[in-house]
Amino acid sequence: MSEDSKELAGAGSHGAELHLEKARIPADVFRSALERFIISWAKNMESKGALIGHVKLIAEVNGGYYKLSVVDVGLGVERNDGLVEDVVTGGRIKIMAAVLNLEDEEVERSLDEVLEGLTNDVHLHKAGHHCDHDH
Amino acid sequence: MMIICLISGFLGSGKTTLMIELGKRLGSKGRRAAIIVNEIGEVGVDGALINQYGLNSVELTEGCICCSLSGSLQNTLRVVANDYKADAVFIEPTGIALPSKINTIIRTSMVEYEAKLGICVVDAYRAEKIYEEAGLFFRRQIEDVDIVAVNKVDLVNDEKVATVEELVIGLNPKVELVRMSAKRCEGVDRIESILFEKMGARE
Ligand SMILES: Nc1nc2c(ncn2[C@@H]2O[C@H](COP(=O)(O)OP(=O)(O)O)[C@@H](O)[C@H]2O)c(=O)[nH]1
Ligand SMILES: [Mg+2]
Repeated sequence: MSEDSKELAGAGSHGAELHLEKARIPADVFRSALERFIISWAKNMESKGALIGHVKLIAEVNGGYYKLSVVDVGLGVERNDGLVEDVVTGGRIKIMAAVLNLEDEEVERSLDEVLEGLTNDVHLHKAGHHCDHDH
Repeated sequence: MMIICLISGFLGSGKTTLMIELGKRLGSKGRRAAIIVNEIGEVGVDGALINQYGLNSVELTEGCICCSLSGSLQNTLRVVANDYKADAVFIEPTGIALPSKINTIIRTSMVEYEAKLGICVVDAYRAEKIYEEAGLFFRRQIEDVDIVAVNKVDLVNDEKVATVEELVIGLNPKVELVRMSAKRCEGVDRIESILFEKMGARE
């Protein structure tokens, strides 16, 4: 990222990709788990002093997609629902946040703090991370 | 020859929403639109969505197109112009990019283009807050653009829209203001017709 424009704005950002394999999650459970996650991430960053820029995710699963976006906690989550099956079995979820008043590392730490909630709700793992157990 | 439309604006202001709408409108009238998106945060979230709408997009994510990726932007512009033969290319930089820097990169890209339109999307709901928190930056985003789209007017009353417009005009008296709700596809006509005017000049 541009060091100077990022500095000028006082912005920080972080993104990650999560993988979902051999799962059997009812689509509604999947939707609400993602919504809880994105709101808790946005709130967690706000509690650390961030002005939310944009927190968003897109799940590309089973040939469909589910996109969520938060630009202001007061306005809540916006959904763009393109899920095509009732049960989610696999795919990937891309998540990212860009905010003012936090450093990149703080955005990443905040994600780590709230991600546990999501990985408990819906079993998934971060790309690049090796999982020993069966899914 | 193609036209270039740069759609800048703060994080979450509605750039992608506006661009998808414009891309769809051009497509439905038989024009080839290409989209170049640069996202902050190393993973592309919007590219996937844009592709879902059947629009042609290139996502540049491993850096910023005003800095480390300036070469990639120039290469992509060349491909879009020469190989894809787009009528219009939309460029959405990250929400913290400065249009003036991108304008310089476009100018030095050696890509021939008919016309260029710079639009800055401002979120009417949040503009004042962002101006308070990052005033200099807000001002620099509004510099060097032709149009300021005061977006999300569906979320605020007319008084608030007028306050935001005053703020914008105070910072850049030369811009044309367009009120819109990109999400409801309201107010987009004006921009669409400017784009067609610029494209039409060629025939
Ligand atoms: N209420 C409302 N929301 C909008 C409008 N335009 C965009 N949004 C929402 O604002 C959020 C950010 O939009 P997006 O186009 O992704 O912004 P970007 O980060 O500038 O590309 C999304 O949830 C959009 O649906 C609008 O005119 N009105
Ligand atoms: Mg966008």
